[in-house]
Amino acid sequence: MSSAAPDSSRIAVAVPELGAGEQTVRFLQWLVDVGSPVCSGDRVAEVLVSGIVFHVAAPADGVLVEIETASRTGISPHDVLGWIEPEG
Amino acid sequence: MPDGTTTRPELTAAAGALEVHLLGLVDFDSALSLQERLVFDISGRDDTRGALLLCEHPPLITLGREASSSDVAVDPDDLKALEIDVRWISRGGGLCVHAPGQLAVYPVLPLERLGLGLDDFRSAFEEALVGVCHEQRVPAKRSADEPGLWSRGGQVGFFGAAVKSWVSYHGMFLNVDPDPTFMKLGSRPGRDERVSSLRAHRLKPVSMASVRESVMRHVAKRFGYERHHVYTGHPLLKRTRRKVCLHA
Repeated sequence: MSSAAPDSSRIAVAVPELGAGEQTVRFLQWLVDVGSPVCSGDRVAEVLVSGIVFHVAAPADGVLVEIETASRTGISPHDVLGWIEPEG
Repeated sequence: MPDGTTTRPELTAAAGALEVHLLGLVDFDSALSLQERLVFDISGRDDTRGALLLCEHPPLITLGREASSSDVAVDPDDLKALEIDVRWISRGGGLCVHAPGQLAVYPVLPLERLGLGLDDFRSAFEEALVGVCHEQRVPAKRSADEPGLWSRGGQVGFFGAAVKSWVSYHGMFLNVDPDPTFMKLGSRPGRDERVSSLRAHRLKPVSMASVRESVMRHVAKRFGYERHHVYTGHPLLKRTRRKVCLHA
């Protein structure tokens, strides 16, 4: 999965440091579609760690323009899940 | 954000108290709405104040994000006859059968401000309920690899949580003294997955009140709360009313 910004103006939606220890982190699903407007703090995706669903929040206001994950794949902290084009 | 490299932290939440709400028998949707409201409230605070909801639910099957529809081994017509709904829920874990006699334990805690990562949270929570089982003379154990609690007779505790804005909700379900008829709905034919309860292990009735008291004490201690306040009910709880048939 890519971590380089395809466009410098875009903001990455990344997996935060979850404190998962040795547990596998799995991507579950996107909660918004590509092209949808999102607000900073909105829940946009779900990841799973050992019986716990973690809701990933949008880092900025804008539009979700690209996603980079396939469902149910193993992921690591700081992996980029998708990209937001900021407003304005 | 919690440091994922830390081992079990020495938890101290002296700046905030744990507010414990004893809700009694409450429908699942009402309890979930209250949890979401508390997540919103607690995520907007800057202290370590947390909430703990303790309740029981009418008969219901919930499926977490790790469940499959094939996990429901009961014929849909039979479930309809028993008036048991099946619901998909945004929590971890698999299938869980809820019924009166099972204690739902919902900690709504600011994990980031408590310095807890997700693995720390599950460990501390499960260890708290292991302590509860030991107080009831049931030698339950947890596993680092698989969420939940097990005794010799089978699984007595189900874990399935969620974290939003670094605040936990959903939680664990401890089988205290549920009707075994409902618990059997969670067993899948051909698989060695037995469901048990504290009563089944003790071979005599177990007081729900004593389990509730033990849960609030152990959860407060494990998460570092020096004070906890106990309330019956919650002003924002909106109950719905539904007739539930429980066969004698």
